[in-house]
Amino acid sequence: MSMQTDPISVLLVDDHYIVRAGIRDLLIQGAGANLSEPLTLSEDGVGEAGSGQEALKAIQEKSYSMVLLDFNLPDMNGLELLRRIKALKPGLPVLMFSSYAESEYAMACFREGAAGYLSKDALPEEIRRAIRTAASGQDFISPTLKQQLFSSVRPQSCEPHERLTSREYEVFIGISRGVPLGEIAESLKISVKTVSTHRAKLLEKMGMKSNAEVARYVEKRRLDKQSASF
Amino acid sequence: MNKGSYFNRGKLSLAVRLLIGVGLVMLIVGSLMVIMVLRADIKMEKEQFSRRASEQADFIRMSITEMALVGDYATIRQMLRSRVQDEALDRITWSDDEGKTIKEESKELLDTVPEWFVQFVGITPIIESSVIEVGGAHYGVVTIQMSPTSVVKRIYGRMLIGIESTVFAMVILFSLIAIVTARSLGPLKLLEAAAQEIEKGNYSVRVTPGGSSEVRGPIMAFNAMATQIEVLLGQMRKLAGRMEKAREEQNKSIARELHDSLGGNLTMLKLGLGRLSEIAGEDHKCQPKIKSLLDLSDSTIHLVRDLTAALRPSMLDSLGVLPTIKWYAGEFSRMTGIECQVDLCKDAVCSKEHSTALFRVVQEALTNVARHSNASRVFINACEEEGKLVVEIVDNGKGMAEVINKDVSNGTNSFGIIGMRERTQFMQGEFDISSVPGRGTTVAISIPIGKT
Repeated sequence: MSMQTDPISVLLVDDHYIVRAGIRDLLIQGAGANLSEPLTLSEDGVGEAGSGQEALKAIQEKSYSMVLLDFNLPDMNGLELLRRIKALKPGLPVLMFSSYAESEYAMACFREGAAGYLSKDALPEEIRRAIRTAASGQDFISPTLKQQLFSSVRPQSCEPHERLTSREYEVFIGISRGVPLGEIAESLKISVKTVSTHRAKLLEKMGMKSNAEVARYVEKRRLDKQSASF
Repeated sequence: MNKGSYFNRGKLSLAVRLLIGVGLVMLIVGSLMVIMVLRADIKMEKEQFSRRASEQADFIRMSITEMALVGDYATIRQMLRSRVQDEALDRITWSDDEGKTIKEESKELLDTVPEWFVQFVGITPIIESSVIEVGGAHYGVVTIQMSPTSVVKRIYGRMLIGIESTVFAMVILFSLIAIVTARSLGPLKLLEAAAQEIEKGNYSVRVTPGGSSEVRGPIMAFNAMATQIEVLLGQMRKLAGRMEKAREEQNKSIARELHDSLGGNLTMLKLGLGRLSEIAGEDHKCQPKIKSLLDLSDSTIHLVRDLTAALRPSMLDSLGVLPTIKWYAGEFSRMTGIECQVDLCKDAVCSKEHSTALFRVVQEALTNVARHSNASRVFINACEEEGKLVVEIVDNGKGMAEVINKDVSNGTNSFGIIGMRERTQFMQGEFDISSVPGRGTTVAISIPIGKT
């Protein structure tokens, strides 16, 4: 399932020489080697940049198939550089290459237009596959990351009233019993203004508009039986 | 919980004691004085009374003698009638030698004085008779009857005035004592209220010096003490803040060093091993060894990653506080098994220092949930409201019996809460912890966010 045979060129952006050397070695050795999914590199197919500024200069001087971008750079944040590259060359695929495994980083990078998010502890084969996928214009997500992303957007199961803070909950129960806001304020030892703020917020959280809705909800779930300070 | 007044515990207040003391003294002195004056009065009146009786009898006898000589009976009657008007006289009788009444004048005296007082004064009515003789001839007997009623009435009236003035003097003195003690000791009440404010954690309270000089001194000393507490508290906060900052900086630098050097080397080691495995070829006899080394490097990389994140999540700097909270919530769920749901608003920007502090507060709140709440679920809500970032951590645990919303608390377990409060104060924010027993605890933090 080799997706492309056109020779590709890659810009490696990383402030650590040893990382760049390692990846270069992996790409060059991999080109045409006896591997299941070899890479075809163009003539002078690997460029290197040790900082954000160098990277910006390099993409303007030469046309690359894709950029492999480290998240941590000395002169600018990887996200910042990604934004700048995308501003200069919106069509250039940028594959983030990061030592951070958390999906929050990947999400932030995707939001800025990254073509993929690759962990630095990936094996050579996955690195080559990611580069190839990105260079061909497709998005790359590693299987572990895919799992994390899925679980992070899985629907949340708690009932709306469980999201109310203790104070909002007490106002909520007070409203359901038809207690005037002034009395609620008195028994909670807070101002009437604060009680109205709580009321507005809890209605928003519950997706409700009226006190009657609150009363119905409380009655239906028998929340009234639980303790509240009235 | 009102502990009540420190002053009145088991003892009467100074004002009341003064009033009772002075009242007793005045009662005794007043009564003694009234009795002494009364006695002197009675003695004097008694003497006067008997003197007057003999005077009256003499006068009447002489008058009748004179007038009887000329036989002017009309004048005698008139004289007797006017004489009987004398306050002490109630009856004048002129009778002949056989005891037959020739002339008699009398008047009714109204007795308005209590019987016991009459007994007490002890002046008995006087009846005095004298024989009228003109040139050896007898003209009958004049008898005057004198009643002490009006005298006793006068004495009684004077005694009443004495008692009234004593009571009046006591009222004036009592009011004076009340006014003076209220004015001079009143500021002590203010002092007490201020001390209770300090107990509640409001250290900025001061008392305006007032009252007597004895009270003014303690008030000024109290104010100086309160100032000193504030200064010390400020220094403590500053020191804690500095230590906190230093610790964060240190954690950050250790984490960076771990990540950059150790983590970097480890990933390169793993990449090299991967390359080695490729070069050796699938069937090479070293493959099992390489595989186990790869596994080892994987677990070491994870170890470094966990260590780094435990020191300080670098995400705080690169992605901001909200994604970090979201990430930590996931980690928390994974570690504790407590379901943690997060609802975050769009990126709210806050400074790096505040990001760290806010993250630490959330971290502490979640630690408390895991440690004390028995909750099965936590809900984290973060949203922007009127220029403030509001973060709420709502758990469904057992709640707290008594919420410690004081600045300083005595419990040793509540250092976490003190820490959260201090950090929130450092961010110029508001910290609130509330609980419905059986329904869970809520920690709410609201901090101002700049539009940068």
